[in-house]
Amino acid sequence: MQVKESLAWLTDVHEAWTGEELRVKLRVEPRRYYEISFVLKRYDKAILDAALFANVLHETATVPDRLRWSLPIWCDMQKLGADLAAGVGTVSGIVTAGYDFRAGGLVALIKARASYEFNRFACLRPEDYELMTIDTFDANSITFTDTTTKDFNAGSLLLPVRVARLDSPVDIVDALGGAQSYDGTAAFQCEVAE
Amino acid sequence: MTELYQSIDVLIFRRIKALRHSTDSALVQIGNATGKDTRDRRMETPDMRLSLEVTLVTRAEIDDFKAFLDTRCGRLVPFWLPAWDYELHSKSSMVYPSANLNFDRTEFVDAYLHSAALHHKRKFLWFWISDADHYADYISAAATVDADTEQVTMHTAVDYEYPLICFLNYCRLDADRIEIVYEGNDLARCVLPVKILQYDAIT
Repeated sequence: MQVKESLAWLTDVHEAWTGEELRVKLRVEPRRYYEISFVLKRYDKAILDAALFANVLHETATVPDRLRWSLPIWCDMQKLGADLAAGVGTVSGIVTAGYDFRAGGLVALIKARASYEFNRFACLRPEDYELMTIDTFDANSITFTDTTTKDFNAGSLLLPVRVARLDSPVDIVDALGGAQSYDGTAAFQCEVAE
Repeated sequence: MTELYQSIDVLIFRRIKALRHSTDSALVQIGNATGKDTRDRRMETPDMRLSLEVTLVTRAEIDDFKAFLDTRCGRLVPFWLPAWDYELHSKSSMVYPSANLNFDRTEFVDAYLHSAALHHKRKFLWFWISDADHYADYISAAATVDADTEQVTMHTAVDYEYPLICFLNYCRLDADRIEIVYEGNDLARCVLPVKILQYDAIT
């Protein structure tokens, strides 16, 4: 799956006739955007439509926590080297440097399975994954605020998750066209909100 | 200066290619009723811009690159960029160490001596022999020796022959929003728009 990450700073540049410049920093931290295209199959359109209708993808402030859009940072995905049993509060044998982990942030654990279609919008069922909150982390391990409730075998996926909101309207494009079609695609451009 | 260009040289040397070099002459063409056009300067020097494609093939390279972007803060903080494929060809008759370097003539000297404004963008040379052995120095004088040779005088003597000598451009990113495309977990590409600036700290 191709993921585009954009980092947006803001600078005011005043150019003199001589070519000299005065540059002024207008934003302390860059805004982060991700652009991902998904394939929509079967009920994906209905799920997406419901989310768009409820407007939960466009804002975060007024949306209840259970409906907030958690965006997995797909380009920061890594595999677990060992089994992680239910009831465990720490995952080790991983790399955290350079990945988007932060104390208080979210992490997704996704069960190893060959048949995932990650380019599909609703590719995961609730029993496939678990969202955990990071308490602390060091170079090779993460301690969660709670313990896992599911078993994750070696090869399962671990990836940071950020709360995001859509940055622009989503167009659902039917692949075949006409009333009989059910496949389509949707491109998301979203901004990391917090 | 060493500190400034150290941050990117190895990273971009590995897998970087210039997609486009563009120059805006900074002239405005003014038409009039007689049909005779006049041209007026919009800027003292031409606007020189590059597009560079950087390919990152390991997680460490991606991290280094993002740290580089973080330091740049979009268009805010300049950096040094070797001109790589626009290298100068040394004359084989050179004897080292020497501060005077003879090159195949590129008419750089003509431009260098012609316009004080122009040479502010082209006064540094970068000497490369390996990732561990490279340095930069500035040109203190330049002269045309004969029809095929021009000579630049470096601030300090060059110890031995370097296989790659090219201009070192003082640049900044030309956009505040930079897009990184991840093709996989540790494979990414990025197109960097770059603008060449003038550097006036050393005259």
